[in-house]
Amino acid sequence: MLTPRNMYIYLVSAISLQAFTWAIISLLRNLLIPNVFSDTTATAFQTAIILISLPVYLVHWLWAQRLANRDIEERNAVLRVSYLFGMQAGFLAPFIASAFGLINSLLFKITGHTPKGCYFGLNSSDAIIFYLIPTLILILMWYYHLRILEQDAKVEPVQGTSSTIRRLYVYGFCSIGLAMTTMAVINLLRWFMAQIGGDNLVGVISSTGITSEIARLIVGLPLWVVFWQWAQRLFIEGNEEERESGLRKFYLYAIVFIAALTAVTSATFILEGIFRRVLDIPTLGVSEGDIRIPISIIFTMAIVWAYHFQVIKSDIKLAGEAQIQAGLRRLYIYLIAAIGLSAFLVGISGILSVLIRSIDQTTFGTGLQQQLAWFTAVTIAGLPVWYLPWRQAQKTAANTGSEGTSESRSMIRKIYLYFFLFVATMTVLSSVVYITFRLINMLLGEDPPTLSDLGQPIAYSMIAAGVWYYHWSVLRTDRQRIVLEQVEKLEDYSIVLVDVGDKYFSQKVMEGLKRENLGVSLISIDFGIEGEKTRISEEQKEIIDQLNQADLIISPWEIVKAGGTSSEISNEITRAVVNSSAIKLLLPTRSERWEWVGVEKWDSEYFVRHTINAVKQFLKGEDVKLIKPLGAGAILVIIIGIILLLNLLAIPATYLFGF
Amino acid sequence: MQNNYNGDVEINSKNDEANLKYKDKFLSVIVVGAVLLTVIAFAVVLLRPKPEYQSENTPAGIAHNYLLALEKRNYERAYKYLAPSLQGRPDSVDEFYENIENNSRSFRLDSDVTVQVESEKIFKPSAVVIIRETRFDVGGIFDSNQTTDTFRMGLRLDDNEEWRVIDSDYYFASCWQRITGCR
Repeated sequence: MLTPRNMYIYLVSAISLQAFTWAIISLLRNLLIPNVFSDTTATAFQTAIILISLPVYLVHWLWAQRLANRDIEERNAVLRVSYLFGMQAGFLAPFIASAFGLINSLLFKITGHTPKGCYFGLNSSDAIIFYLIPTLILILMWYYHLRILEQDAKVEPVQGTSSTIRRLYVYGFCSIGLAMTTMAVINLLRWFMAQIGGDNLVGVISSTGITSEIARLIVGLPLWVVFWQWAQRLFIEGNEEERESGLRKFYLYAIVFIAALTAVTSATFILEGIFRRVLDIPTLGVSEGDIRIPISIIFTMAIVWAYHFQVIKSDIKLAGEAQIQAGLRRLYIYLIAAIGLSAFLVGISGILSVLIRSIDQTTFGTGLQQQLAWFTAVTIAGLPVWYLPWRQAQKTAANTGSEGTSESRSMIRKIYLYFFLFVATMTVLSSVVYITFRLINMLLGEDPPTLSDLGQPIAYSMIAAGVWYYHWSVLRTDRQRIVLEQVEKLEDYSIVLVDVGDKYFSQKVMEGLKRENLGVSLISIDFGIEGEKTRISEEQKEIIDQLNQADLIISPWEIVKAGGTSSEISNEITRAVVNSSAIKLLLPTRSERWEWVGVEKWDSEYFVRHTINAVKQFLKGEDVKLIKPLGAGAILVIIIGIILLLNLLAIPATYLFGF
Repeated sequence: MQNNYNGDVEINSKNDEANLKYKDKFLSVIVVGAVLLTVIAFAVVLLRPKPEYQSENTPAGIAHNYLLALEKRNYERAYKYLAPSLQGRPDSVDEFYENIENNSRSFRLDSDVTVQVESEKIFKPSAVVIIRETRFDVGGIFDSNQTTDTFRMGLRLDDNEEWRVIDSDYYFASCWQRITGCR
């Protein structure tokens, strides 16, 4: 439980245990490596910390344990779980660093190399002891907390917010392990290639550096494997909560995004090197024209990409509902397409800019050739990465039937399309502002702008205008497709709106639904008006027929309460509603001596708004869900997000036009 | 009371079908257009006439020739354009080349640039030439950036009434203005 008392207990426990652990480590280092650490003051200080922090920790931790034993729910409390996973992370992170240092020192000892830049200039034997002490102590501390967590989980399984904390811990260390492994593999591959093709490779690691990469791999790989297997176990054996975890999706898609982007960038460097040779310009790029560096990155990142793509595919299969599966598949496709299109646009705009600036014959230098080589490389690297997934998405959207409509309607597709519309609009805006500024400047007596000045903004605005038109036409086609499909589907669709009140609700809902132009047949029946009672009773047979034939009946819940306060509703009408095969959309209206649980206070306007939303969701084939207005926190986050986005956009604009 | 309404949605299905077919063509046009644009750009850049030395009667011509000689690594010719009155002027072309290598940043030896002489202002016996330089720094795909700057090159008429370079923000070693030179 999140009480001030519990916060106090866990905070003191955390601080005192960390102080105790690090004091023990420092003291042991002082005692076991005396020729380097022989400071009496430090020894006295560390002893003091141990003597004071240990009882403080024990008192508070035993208090925490007593509380957990007394109340079973405490074992799954957010604060306790945060403390335990936080402490585990606090011990595991320095353990990784120490284990890396230890293995590195052992490898130095085996190979006979002298470690450079080692802590306090230790020799390899002292370095082994230096790193061995924290490695042993930290792993013990980590294991103790692991055991506590396992004991707690036996009594009260981790769930809710606590399972989110666990996922953060698991995927956090998965990321660290994967990053270490990837980095080590890239550097080792680079080293191997340097051995094969001559070691004149720029930035290649030295023979002493190679031991660090081996150590990184020895630590990183098991770390990743252990935590990734844990993550997989949680996902496969876990409950629905684990399956629907947003963090796992974020982790997988972030890795795919980074791997794809890195692979595309490295491919660009290789292609750039080729084009530089075609254009006969000296190589000055990052790889100095040597393709071994980007090849080692591409190879590693392609494996990371392929593996995580397979994981995403199997996750999609396990996702259950077809709608969720399609959503996840779409997320992957549009993510890759967005990377590819962004690169393609950067490349093609650059090529056009070079073309425009080449017309100006008074310029000279290798700049134009260099840019042409670079932008052609970017275009070629980006084009297939965009074209293939985007074509697949377009094909799916063009399909007749629900698959196509669902693609056209999907939120991810809309975000993708509107994102590029936004980028295109902003690019046109900033480019045209710059061109106009230069022209006004010229009218005011300054030098006229040259093609070299205006080449880039002209090229960018032309490409951006094309991007805008293309994405806008895709959106327009999507909309037409949705409407066409809706008209075909809803041609014979009938919605019956029943009102037992003062007719206000039925009138407003009818107006709202007509405005939405849904293409359905709408029938409104008002039972609450005195003057209509006789007519309703005369036309009862016809009303019952309409209710029987309806596809959707919208009504206050009282319609199914025959003989209740709304005595104007006959038993026959109630039976017709109940027996109708139509879907019934019931409103939780207030009725004397009847109350609702879990429903907020409402008024007629609220009902009207939510009924229209519910009908729209229903007609789209979606689940009827409550659409809540944005809270103050969400609005604040959106405002901060917009400010950050504008700042981000200002950076390229400043670079581009030197504002 | 009953109120019936039959919805009517404006849609032209023929147009829509045509649009769907058009969309695929549009995508193909984009790809073909990109390929064509790349080919044209390569052709234009490769077939661009080679820059030539200009008349040496104006400060702009001298500045152009000095920069072009540096770009072509014709150090003998570039050395010729340095004013003899410079206190730290290199004694030989070899020393001039050595100074350039030692000032690689100023001489843009590590980057690809495009330069263009923009204008000249003559205040005899001095002149200032404004030069536009465009640099492109390759980072990653999304963090490469192009910067365009102008800088000034100072020239002075020498005893033979010829314009010579005495100062420049770039493509010039500041030590050439010191008595001790670059030693």
